[in-house]
Amino acid sequence: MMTSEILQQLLDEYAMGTISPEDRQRLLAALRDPVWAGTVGDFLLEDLHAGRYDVVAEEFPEVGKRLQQHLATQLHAAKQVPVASHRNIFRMGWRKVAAAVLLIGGVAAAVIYLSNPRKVSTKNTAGMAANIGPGGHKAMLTLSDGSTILLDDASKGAIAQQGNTQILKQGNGQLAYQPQSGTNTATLWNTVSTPQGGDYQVALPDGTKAWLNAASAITFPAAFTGKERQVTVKGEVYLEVVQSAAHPFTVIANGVAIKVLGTSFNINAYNDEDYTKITLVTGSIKINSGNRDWLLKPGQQAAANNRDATVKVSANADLEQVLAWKNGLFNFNGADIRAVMPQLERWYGIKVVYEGAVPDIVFKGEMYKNVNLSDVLEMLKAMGVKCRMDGKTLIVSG
Amino acid sequence: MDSSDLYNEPKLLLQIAAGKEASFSILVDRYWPRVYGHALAYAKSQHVAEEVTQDVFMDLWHNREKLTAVEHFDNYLFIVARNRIFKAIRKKLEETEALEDVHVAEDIWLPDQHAEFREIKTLLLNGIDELPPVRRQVFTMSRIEGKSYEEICQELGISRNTVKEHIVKALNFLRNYMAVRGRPMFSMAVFIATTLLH
Repeated sequence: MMTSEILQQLLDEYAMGTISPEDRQRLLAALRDPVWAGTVGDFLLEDLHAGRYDVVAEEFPEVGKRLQQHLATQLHAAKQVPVASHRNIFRMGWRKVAAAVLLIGGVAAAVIYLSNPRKVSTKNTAGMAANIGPGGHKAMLTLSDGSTILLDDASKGAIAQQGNTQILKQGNGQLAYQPQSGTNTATLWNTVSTPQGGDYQVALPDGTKAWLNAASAITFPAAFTGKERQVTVKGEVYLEVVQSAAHPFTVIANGVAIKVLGTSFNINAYNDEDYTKITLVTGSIKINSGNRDWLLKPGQQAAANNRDATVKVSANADLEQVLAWKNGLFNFNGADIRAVMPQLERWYGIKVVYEGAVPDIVFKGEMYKNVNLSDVLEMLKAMGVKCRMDGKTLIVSG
Repeated sequence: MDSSDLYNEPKLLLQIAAGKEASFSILVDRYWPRVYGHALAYAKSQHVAEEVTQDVFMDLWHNREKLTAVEHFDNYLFIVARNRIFKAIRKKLEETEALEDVHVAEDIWLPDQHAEFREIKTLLLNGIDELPPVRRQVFTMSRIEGKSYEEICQELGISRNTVKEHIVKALNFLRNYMAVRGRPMFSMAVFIATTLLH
């Protein structure tokens, strides 16, 4: 028997590529059945409305280009302009249009991801903010002797040597620590730090991967030599720790110690926030704060109060939201103004001040981080936030 | 798409209805990632998805005079897209049905197939490695650990829709990843079917 629940399930399994041959037959039968075809159509329409499988245009650049070219040719054919010079003029026009579209593309991408029924006023745009661009992959490496290397400028290949460890900047811009033969005697501490408006990825000497959000830092030895592996983080860092039972891995963040085996988790330890938040994605970690231990399970989040070191553990953290920054997104779902603004401060290098009461607005939706500040302000205004730029200060009024 | 009214400028639609290609191009740029993404999710072929997307926008252009009467452009566009995607699914299922009658001798591998297989496998694993962490996790649980939809939901504490979204988006990404590197998805399908799902 067919029900719309079963049909939805069949369609989902089909989309995920996990459908069995029998179920494939059932789905095909439903598509051919006038009674159920409409239901399948409704499901497809829902997906389209929700934008469930939108692709990011930048990830499929040749598809967009080919599509525009194809349509240009088709439209051209329809117009039947036979002269070569006309064709050139026409093509140039199309290219100019494409450039203009590219410019507004960023806005469109942002708008598409923000679900908001209200209208944006196109007047009164955030003129002052127009030239504040988004952050990018930027970081600084501080070696054990205190010397520094700007990583965004450094060319690829070996950029420094620390004891018997070679530091490489890889083709993808990431940093990697490569141990060479010989024994390391002294522990040489290195720090990778990101400025406001910068994020970066680094592979530690043991292969552990660290992603740094804006205004963050990680300090670690150029080679892990002892039994324990220990690193210190500031700001927001996502870690994928390489498992090694013989060499426990400890992270120190804002006085909270996190002991891990093989695990991935996010640490949000900005010292201008009220809480240090540790969210476990996989594996298992033990948190020590104020001389007490807490054991986290995947999906749980521990929030350590930065003033009194008390810890609250909540189950079912929204991993998508916690890790959005790592995937190039702002996720504002359920966040209020006070939660949103520090993220903008750190990514755009601006300062936010409040005029009067802080507006009581809860946000919805996701947005790409690679858009200009002016576009973000446009979104905020669309959501009913009254704000204006004054130099590098964003004034939010109640 | 709730935000659509931001862009439902009747002006743009009127210009398109009047035959202005530049306005049409702007519209195409705004909406193709949605049409293409959903076409790819359901047609499971970049080539077919591109054709579907072209057809959807050509449908719009051919019926452009209707745009003057359209109140919610996205509703209109999505219905056109839905109809094309629906047909693509049906065609795909019918083709698979026909293929099922052909028995593939999968146990006999020629030496050069082995080499090719290894190469594809490495490439695919690299592609999986480039997925964002949660998506990689969900995809690995589904395809390498062979876990069911429900098991993944429970273990990660995320909804069915989120799991579905991650897997389909991972497949879309990997399809492109393989295609750009000269490996069609067909090889990948064979690979996933034969080795990842033991």
